[in-house]
Amino acid sequence: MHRYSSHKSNLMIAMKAGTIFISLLSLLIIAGCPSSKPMTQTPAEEPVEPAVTNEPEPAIPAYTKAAEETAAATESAAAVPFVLQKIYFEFDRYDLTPEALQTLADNARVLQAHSDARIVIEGHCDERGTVEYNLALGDKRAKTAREYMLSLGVNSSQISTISYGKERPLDTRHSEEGWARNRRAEFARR
Amino acid sequence: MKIQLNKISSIRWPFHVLSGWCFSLVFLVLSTKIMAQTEVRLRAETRTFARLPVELKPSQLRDQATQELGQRILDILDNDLWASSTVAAFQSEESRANPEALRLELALSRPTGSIRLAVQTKVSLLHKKITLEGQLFDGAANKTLEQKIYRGCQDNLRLLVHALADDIVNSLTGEKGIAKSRIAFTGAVSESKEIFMMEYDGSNLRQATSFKTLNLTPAWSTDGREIIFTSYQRGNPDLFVMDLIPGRVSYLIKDNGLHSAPAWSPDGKKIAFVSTKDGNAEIYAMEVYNKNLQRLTQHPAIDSSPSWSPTGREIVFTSDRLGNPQLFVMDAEGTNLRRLPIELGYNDSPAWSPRGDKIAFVSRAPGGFDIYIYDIVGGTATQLTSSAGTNEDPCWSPDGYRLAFSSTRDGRSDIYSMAWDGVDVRRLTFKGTCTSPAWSSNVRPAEEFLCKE
Repeated sequence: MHRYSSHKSNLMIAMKAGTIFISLLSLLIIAGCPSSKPMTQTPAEEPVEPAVTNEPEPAIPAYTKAAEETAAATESAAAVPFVLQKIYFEFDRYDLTPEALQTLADNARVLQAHSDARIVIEGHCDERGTVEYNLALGDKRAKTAREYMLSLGVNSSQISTISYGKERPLDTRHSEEGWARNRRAEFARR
Repeated sequence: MKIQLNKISSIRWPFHVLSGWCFSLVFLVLSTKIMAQTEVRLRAETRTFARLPVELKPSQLRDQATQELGQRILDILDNDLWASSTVAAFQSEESRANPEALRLELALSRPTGSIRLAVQTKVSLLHKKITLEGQLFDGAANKTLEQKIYRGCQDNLRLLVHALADDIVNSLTGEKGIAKSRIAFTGAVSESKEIFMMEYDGSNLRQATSFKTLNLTPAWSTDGREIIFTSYQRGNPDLFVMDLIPGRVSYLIKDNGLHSAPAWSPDGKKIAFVSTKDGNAEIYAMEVYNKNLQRLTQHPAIDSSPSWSPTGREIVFTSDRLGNPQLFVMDAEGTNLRRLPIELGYNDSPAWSPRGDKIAFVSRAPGGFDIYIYDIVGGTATQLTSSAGTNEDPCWSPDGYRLAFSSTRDGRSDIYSMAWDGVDVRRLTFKGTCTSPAWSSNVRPAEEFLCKE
């Protein structure tokens, strides 16, 4: 049976794996935190793997400050119009840009003021990439957005997610501008 | 170097990619006159497989069978046998009427030595029911090699002849014919996307679903009876299975999250697919009979697009765990993971050849994607397409000689097929919204041959 072995590639993977391991190791040492399950720690720039659960989510450390601010600023439904803004993503990425973080904080404030409102976050992609991969990428985008809003204190029962992959483009142009508008998460009231 | 012998007559599936250098040499010594008049297009750059020449004798007619019916059978058979990539069919009538074709026939016969393969068909038509008898024999020894009878409805004449063609190919080469195979794909209908299906050559196109929602990523069952696909009928991307005989659709998986990219294992017992039910896009395998699920990947990155090896022992899939999509192989239990050593930036859509030795995939190019073949034995990747627009979604014919794919080379997206070495590209659809082709096996349920009540 073939194992597709290429010494060069195996070496590269081994080197990469080694680099990642060393990076992780140094992170742990710097943090001075001998965690019992280090494999669940993800590098800082990667979004935390979303988990769908109805339990209140433990706050993600980096987001704690924003969450406290939001919690402090909870307002009545009448004072906050029910307007939810879209967020946008980079090509083939599902991590949140600084603009997206700000928009999500605004959206979280709206949902907290309208605690009876239920929404679905729709993850969308641009047309580049396969149908299958974009469905998974859209799912990641929607869940990353949900996760962040839950970390800001939104009730988990208020938000569900769905992916439309590249099947529902807003902009049909085959250009950078068109693609940028299509790599988005939308917030629809149920 | 390219020599083309242009075909004069009509509808035949004309992908006359002829065989090796020996044929090329035979043709090189023939006059330019024969090149202009015979119906074989020869590409000297394609040295992939040798075709067996088979003569098609005029049909013998019984009961209400007409001359026209007899000729129609021969034309369908002719087309089907050429489509197999292993047989060079020619009709006796043509040979008699055209001395140049007779010379071609002799040239073609040479590699088989003293054997002169021929097919005799006998057709009977009574009360809309057809009885088609096919006899494969060696004309030199006047010996019958195989004989079989096909019965069915007049409306299913093409299918009866497809069955004969596949049996001839199998008898002569031991390989699967593709005449009974079909291609399913996704096409737009106003705002929705529906599943369509057609025969291997693009004929008999029909819409298989009309759910007025998104219906995506179709995959065939091994027995040619069912299509699994992702549908948003419930509002959520779930997996459905459509039984084509009663035309009934039912849930396969109803759970939270996305379910897509289904792939039936070669033995028909399992379905691999992508699900985000546990939070992240992972690959699962489901036992068809008890719906038991086994999770095969465990990684926070996206894992997608599983495709089974023909032995069912391994699965190739896409993962972005190294930062962007790359191809990985694992054993069918999820163990023994390794990356395919392909030195290209962004690779997706793997499809394992039914012959086992190759994996087709797409790699990102400036204008979209191009289709490549990874040769498992040699460890090399070869580019097959380089046309304008994007070329995506490669899938294999059941004999492993051809690939269907979607391409925007003519403007909008349609389904095409090509030989596995990238030549002989044929356009199969003309809708402009067609993607995600899935090529079935050459198995057809017995019910399809019968008359509809």
